[in-house]
Amino acid sequence: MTRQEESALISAVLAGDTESFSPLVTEHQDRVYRLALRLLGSEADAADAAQEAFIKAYTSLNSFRGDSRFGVWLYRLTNNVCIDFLRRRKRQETVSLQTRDEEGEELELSLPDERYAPERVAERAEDARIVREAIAALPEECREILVMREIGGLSYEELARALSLEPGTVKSRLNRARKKLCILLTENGNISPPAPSKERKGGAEE
Amino acid sequence: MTDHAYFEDLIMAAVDGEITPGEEAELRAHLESCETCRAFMETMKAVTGVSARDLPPAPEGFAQGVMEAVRAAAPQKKKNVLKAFPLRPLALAAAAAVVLWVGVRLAPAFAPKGTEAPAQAETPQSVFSTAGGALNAAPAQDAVSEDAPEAAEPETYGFDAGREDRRADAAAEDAVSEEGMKNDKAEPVPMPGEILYTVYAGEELRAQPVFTGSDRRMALVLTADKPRDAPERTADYTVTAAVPGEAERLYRLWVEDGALVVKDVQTDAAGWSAAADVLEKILQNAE
Repeated sequence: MTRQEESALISAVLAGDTESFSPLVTEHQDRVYRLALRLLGSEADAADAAQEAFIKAYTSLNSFRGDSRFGVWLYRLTNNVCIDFLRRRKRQETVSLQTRDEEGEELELSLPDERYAPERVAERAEDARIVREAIAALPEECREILVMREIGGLSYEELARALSLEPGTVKSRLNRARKKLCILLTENGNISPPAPSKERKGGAEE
Repeated sequence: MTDHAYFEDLIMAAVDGEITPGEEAELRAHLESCETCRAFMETMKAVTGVSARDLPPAPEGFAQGVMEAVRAAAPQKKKNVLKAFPLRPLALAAAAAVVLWVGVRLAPAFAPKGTEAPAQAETPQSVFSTAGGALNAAPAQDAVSEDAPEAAEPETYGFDAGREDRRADAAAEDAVSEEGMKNDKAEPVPMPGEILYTVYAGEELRAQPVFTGSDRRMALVLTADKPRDAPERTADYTVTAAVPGEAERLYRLWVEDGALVVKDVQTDAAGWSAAADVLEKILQNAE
């Protein structure tokens, strides 16, 4: 869908044509859902959050300025919805994810430590469960920028605007997020996954 | 920033395809001689995109579920959108009092004359029904503005002007027009192809609905509003056009640099082109 087509649909929705929202949903549903899935970890929560994000997008469409891609705005909204979800969930379960800010220490990648060898990262990254747990264990701001970049497909400039960051901070935060992810991926069994939250869903996960 | 941190940022930009040609050359030169950075780049390549891998698409029926929820949220939404439709910066000072909502509805194509009256019809005063062609002249408006202390007056002005003009334009419909005029005295009844205009200020009905067949009529409706609340130059107009079987269309009109700008909100294209004298008319009123 071109940006022009997108903005024509948005205008139609704003003019009262609700059905014009449908192609926008179809166009963005996979990314919004995947974003939510990565941020929340559970498929049921992801579906709920993704739906909530779309409804929010619809009801607040008049605040979309049109100076960014619709997707950028929508993924940012999705991100916010998911953060709310996580906060609610955390309050309920007091899961201790490693979300406290640990600037530094663990982030020092002392290359060429062989634990962080590219082959090892690549190998571990093949395991979907390890990846899922590693991403879940990332600090919130790292996870957020990483998935908005990699799933949302936002450019650095778009990330800067969506997350209200200086362009330089985008690079360094992405850098930090990926280093941290490498460590978590290769930290053999030392990842502290949000185990209680997995069980909450009735142990449906493997 | 150390050299290492600097090149890490370049590597980050490189794996994300955000590196500039100049930076790329610099990085390539550095990688030639730096094993650490080569390894770091390989590691970054391995980890980049991992978060997006192996994720399922949205579940079956997801979009339908969203649309059902959206439709449920739709009725109150529409009003909010119209209400919150952003004013141009210029218009901010003018505020709500000078914002007009002009609802445009396409009348039933072949409504039986004199039998079926639109629901909103109230008997219009026909004081201006014979003003006819004079309505295009500014003095006619001045007359209206002097004599119209009450809200209801200007509306009928617009309404009757439409009838007269349409009759003048379509000689072939003479007989019908005569009949139509009689009915007009009682209730507005659409002629084939005519459009029903309704003027709102905010959400408040501003004028009785008016049937006309062209943009010229709409201009008259807008100008007819002058007696009550002359919109200022900075005023915004919003015109919705509800055509049966089609998506409602929305146009915005505002004055910018002394010219009237009319935009189709959907396409952002210059919306409706009215004859220059019609635009001039609206512009006059906007002054």
